[in-house]
Amino acid sequence: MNKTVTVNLGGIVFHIDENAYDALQKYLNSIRSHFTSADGRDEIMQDIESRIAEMFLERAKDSKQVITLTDVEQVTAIMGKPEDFAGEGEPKSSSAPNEEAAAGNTYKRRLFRNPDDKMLGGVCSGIAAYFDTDVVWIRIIWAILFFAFGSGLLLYIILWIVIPMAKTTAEKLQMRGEPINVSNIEKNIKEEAEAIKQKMEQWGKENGKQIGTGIGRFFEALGEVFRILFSFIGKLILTFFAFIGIIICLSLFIGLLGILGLPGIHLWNMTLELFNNQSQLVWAYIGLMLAIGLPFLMLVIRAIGVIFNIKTMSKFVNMTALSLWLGGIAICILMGIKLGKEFREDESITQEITLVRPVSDTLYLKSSVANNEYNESKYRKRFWHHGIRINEDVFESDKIEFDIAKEPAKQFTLVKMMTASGSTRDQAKERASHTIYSFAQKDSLLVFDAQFTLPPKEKYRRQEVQLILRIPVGKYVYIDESMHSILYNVDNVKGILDDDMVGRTWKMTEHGLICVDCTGRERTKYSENADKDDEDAVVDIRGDSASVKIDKHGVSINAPDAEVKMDENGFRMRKKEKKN
Amino acid sequence: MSNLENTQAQMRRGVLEFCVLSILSHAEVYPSDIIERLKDARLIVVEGTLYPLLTRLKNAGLVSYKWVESKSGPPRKYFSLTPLGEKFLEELHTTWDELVEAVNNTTKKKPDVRYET
Repeated sequence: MNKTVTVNLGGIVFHIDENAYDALQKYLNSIRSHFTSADGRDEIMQDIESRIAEMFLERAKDSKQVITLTDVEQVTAIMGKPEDFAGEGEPKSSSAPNEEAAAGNTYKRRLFRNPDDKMLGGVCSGIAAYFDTDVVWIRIIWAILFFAFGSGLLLYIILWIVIPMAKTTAEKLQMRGEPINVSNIEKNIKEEAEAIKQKMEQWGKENGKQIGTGIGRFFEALGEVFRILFSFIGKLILTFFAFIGIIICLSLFIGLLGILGLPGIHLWNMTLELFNNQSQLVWAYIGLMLAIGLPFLMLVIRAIGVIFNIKTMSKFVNMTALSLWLGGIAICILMGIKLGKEFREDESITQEITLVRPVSDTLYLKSSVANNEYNESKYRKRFWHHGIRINEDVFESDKIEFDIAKEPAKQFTLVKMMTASGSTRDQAKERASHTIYSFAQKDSLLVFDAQFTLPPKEKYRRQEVQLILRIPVGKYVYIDESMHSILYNVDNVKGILDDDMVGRTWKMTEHGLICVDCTGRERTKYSENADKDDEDAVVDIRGDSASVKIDKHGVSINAPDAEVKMDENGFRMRKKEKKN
Repeated sequence: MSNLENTQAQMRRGVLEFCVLSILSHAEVYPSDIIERLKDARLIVVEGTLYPLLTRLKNAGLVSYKWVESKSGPPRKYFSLTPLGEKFLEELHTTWDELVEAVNNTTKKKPDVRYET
């Protein structure tokens, strides 16, 4: 039993066995490749096809309906192999003594893998044939690339998949093909121009009577020019995408080598800080590579296929790639869930430290941030809120929030609260207790570290440190400029912003902090909003201690005891320190 | 291809164009008819040879064709000589006659070798 295909040959429909179809297709292609369009290739092909159609008709007459392989073989034997009449198209080449060399020269060069001279897949020698160089040089380049983080290996595998093997003699001839040089390029252009001219003439003959031939020709030529231009630009764009794709694939590949622990490659340590163990990390990375890298790899393969005019990728390769990709996504989701579990519960540990009573009534607050780091951390705080750094094996974070509150007793007290996440509450608590944070007191001087650290091998589990300095009523505190990076929304009676709280002395009263040496030009939460949005405010009521405002940003209600805000950040309600 | 076969092929190829033009000069013909006659004369072996040749002659303006509907298949091209082709053929005839004579003279006569002393 044989599957049949329907073909249109010279305007007549034939049913033809699949294997016969393949043979016929191959035969016609071999003829086509023997002629240039300057020889009138299209016309020759037409004539030959209609003659073949005639002969098929003769054979299909007697109760037989399907063209078989035997029919095709007989017909092609009558018509003859292209080698037998190759000389006719080009009278010049018929005088060449070496027929085969002459025939070989008419092949267009294509990129193939060379099965006759190969170490692995014949990629190098195929490339050498394409560029007409010695294979040794290509192999040396490859060896160098291989040692450059193994990128050569990946590239080799891609090319191995993409480039077809030269199986038939014709393909082997095409592999060497015509040398690429100026005269050949010229020849190609001439052929192209000739083809356009012929098409134009044909078009002119067909349509010339109806439309002005000149105009028709002009548009036809314009169309051709655009077609060629677009295909060129298209290839250029494809090359660009292929390049990007290769870079992405390479970096993913190098990354994998990095986490597998190859020397000389430093990978962003964050990944290891996040996952519980090496194998989890490797899995996550493989999942990521398959889910993100594979589509790019396929893109590269496709693009190379189009650029070099190679038919790429069998159904098998496509299906394998698809299932690998789905597998990659599954791994990613699994690892994501696993990682998400680690952040399910939050727990904190609170320590209350009673500070040594200073000699004076004023406590000086400083942070251990070096001066040159000050600007950096200020910048970071403003845009990313908090930053995380990893130096060698030490994990550093400045996710520290410093607040000031009122102390009912007589001593200065510092509340230190360390928070972390974990899969269980106990684990979260355990993790939180590992956080290392310190401050120092020298009589009235308090120096806070601007960062906390985690012990080596401790994982990142959203660790945070909150500090609340409780000040007894009537005592003073001076906030140094260096405290800026850790101050977090410190309450005070006038609502002065953190930015302007530094560099000033504050007194704790029954109502909260009051500025002792303020100039009155400090920005407050209220004034800042009011300044900006005066014109837009729909409702703007301001009393001595409370205000209500509705504008394009939302609603904000401020009272000494509490504040309510509804804006782009959501709905917030906050209770301020109660009056005694 | 052996040397002998190659030479024979070259010889046939040389006269093929002349023969095709001659066949066309008598009547409007369809390629299959040309092929039959050439095959009888053992001038060509495979049909494929003819189509590129006809296309080349047509592009050179020596022959032209018209379409004729066929009952048993696709429409057929019937070829005939153009005035230019007729002139061309005449020239070829003269050349052929000269060539035949020259070849006969060269191949049939005994070599007349003279040594200069």
